[in-house]
Amino acid sequence: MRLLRIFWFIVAIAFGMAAGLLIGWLVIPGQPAEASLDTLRADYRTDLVLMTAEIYQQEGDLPSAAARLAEIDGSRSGLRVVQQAILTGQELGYAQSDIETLARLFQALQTWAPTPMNNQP
Amino acid sequence: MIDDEYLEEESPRRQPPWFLLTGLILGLGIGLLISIVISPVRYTETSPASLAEAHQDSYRWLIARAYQANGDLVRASQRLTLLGDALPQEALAAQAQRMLAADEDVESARILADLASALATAAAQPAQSASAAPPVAVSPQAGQPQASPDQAAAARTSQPTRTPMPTFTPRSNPTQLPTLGAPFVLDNRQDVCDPSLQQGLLQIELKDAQGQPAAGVQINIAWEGGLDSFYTGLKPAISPGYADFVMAGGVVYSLRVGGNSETIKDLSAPQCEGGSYLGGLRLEFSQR
Repeated sequence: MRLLRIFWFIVAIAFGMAAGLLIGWLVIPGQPAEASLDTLRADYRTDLVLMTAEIYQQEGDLPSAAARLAEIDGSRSGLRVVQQAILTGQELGYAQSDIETLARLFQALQTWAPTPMNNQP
Repeated sequence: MIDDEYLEEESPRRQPPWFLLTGLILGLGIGLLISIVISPVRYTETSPASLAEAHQDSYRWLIARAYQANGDLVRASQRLTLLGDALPQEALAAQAQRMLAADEDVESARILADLASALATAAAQPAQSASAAPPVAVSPQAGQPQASPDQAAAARTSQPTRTPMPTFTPRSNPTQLPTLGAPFVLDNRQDVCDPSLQQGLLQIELKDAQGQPAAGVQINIAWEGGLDSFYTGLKPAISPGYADFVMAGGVVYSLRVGGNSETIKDLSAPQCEGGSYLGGLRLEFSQR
């Protein structure tokens, strides 16, 4: 009798847990509208970096460009963000002029804040 | 005695199964803790349309600023489409007005207004744009994000060898900005007695030397003890060269359009229909 009660108690916990997970993950998840720029898909993010590069090309304000890059992806350095954007842009078939625009920002960032690049293992 | 034994055996059976309820509540708590606190849903690979409003504003501003940098209206328009606004120019104008209302950077608001008015101007000239930009089969447009991963994958699979991608050659004329330095001259001034309009509404319409609406022009207005400035182009639905201001009754205003135009003095809201309501003014300027 006691074992049976323990068995049903565990079953009840399992049911409750399943319900809690369903509620938390499916019924009331964080709204998509809470998404920030760093959650954007890679191609959208690359386009944002391209916008930043276009703006930098016109105004030549590197600190502003770096701040915008940090807003786009704060988890990596601006240099890495632009580097990734160049790679993604090449994969997506960006026009050469756009790749060059990105490259100019990349070069400027290298000069402005040289970051050790340890690409080799 | 028999009755007593019967009662002793039956009473435990009638107890509600509290242990089940306790287990359910305990499990529910653990499940909610895991799904909301420990491992909540995280959105990745999102689209601009699903961004929070503040981030959408950042995205929109970047588009407008990039347009100011490269003058490519087609690209700006394509980028704005990604935000999913029903009327992109209205969204731009609304954001510009929100920025002005919040006393944020006026220049930033003007950048948004410039793009809004450029889009409105381009929309008003569809025939010209169509003739200027012949249809080109573009798949996918270089420099533009693809609409969905499926489409992107389809595009990649349909192009095993990379073909030269088209650049953004089709360009509409960007904002019809007025020639810097040329003054605006008052062509027409009229009292407006229309009860359907907001009382005391000062409507201003600017046209450049080519007769096109002039957007993004600063208008300064002064009155005794006050000064304000606003820009044309914040209401592109009316006209890219339109701006308005609400005058108070009995106050005399002076107004100047742009940097070196003449100051228009003695502007005040007229009394209409024997003073039953406050009318408005309409001023039309053109650049000489």
